[in-house]
Amino acid sequence: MVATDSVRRAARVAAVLACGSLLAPIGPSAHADDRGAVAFFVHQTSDRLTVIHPSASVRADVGEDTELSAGYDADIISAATVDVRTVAYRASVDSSDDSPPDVVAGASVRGFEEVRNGLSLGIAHGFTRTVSGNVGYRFSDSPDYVTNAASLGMSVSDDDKNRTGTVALSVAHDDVGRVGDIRFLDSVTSLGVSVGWSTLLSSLAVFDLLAGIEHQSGFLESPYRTVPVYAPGEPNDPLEHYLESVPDARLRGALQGLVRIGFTPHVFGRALLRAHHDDWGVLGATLGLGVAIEPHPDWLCSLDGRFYLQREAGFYRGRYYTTGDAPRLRTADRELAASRHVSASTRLEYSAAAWLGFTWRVNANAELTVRHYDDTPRLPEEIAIQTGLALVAQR
Amino acid sequence: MRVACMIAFGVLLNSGCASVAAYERETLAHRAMTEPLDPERQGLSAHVAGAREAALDPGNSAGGGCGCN
Repeated sequence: MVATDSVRRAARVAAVLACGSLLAPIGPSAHADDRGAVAFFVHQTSDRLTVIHPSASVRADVGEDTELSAGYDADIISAATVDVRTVAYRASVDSSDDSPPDVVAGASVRGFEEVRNGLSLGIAHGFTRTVSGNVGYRFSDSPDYVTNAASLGMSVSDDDKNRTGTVALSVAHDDVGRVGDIRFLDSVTSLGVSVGWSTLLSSLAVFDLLAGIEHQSGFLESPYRTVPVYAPGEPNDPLEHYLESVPDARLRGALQGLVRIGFTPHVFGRALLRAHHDDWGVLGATLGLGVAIEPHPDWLCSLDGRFYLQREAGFYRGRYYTTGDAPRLRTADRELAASRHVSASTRLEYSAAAWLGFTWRVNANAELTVRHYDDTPRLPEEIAIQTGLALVAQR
Repeated sequence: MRVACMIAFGVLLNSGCASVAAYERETLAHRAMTEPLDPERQGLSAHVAGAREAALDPGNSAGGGCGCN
């Protein structure tokens, strides 16, 4: 009942936001250039997770008003992560006992290696000078997770291209399982809608507003996370193991504002603020700040900072019962923990001479992220380093 | 009252807009003003954030998570 009320309320809010934006004049999106890119990233964390991420993409005109895009990416993952479990040292057969359990953290090292492959396809078409539409499809395959996702979008601009309104619908179906199992355990279905509004504030600044909601239903747990429950005084002999248990539906929403400013012809800045909330009780915000400097027409240097803060899911500190009751909601998922993240990144881009009608650019980037968790049981702080190199051809 | 505020907010989105002539858009057309500035890195960052953050990124389509911890 609560989820249904939330869906109706969120749908009404989204509809009113969309109507409010459409009252104002709206403008066309700019026609994108032909573009091809290859990139290579390495992502490493302090708990011994390494992800190698190669990617390739291409976008090209296939007619006067039609554009095709395609992309491939992969994750080559190896890990010996410290897998933090929730351990309860209190056994109770009395379901009316609501006193908090004695919960501590236990950790074990779990190593694995796997490869994920992803493919994306898209078509964009300009119906008129001010109205365009796009369709996209994305496929992702890994030994324990398969995704099929599709999106449909439209943008409308005013004749002078000062303002653009967008709306997009997305749907995804994910099959979730465990590596080595014959069949997938279950599935997840996601439905999303987003509306956007971009407007020129002046000859030097642009403002983008974006709002989105997403409803997920199905198997939303991790199939690898279990919670052992012990009797007092028996730390080495669990009474039983429960699979992680979370609600089978989730409604998330977010509102984002982005300002891009050209302070001078060679110095640029951007600021992003996003707030998000869901019906699991998670509430948080993201603040992003960036500056880009062009010391020479062939060089572009940028620095970015990102701050992320969230409150934990309402059921994060679950209650644990040993017998006689269905498992209550419990999880030790980092994604749902109270946390603070700080990241800093730098990027250096060089534009080489034109060749074959394309402008060639190479860029290198590095990012450092620190994730701090505040919860019981306590999750270890995580430090992540990501480096990347990309080659882009554009005309 | 809430509906009226929402509609007023929508109209306000247009009140701060400017009409900029094409010859005045040199700065706006600079590649440093492109969004996203680095689409290759943004794709990976969104994927990593999906596994570590509960936030919905309204600019990314639904689904595509992972079974990782």
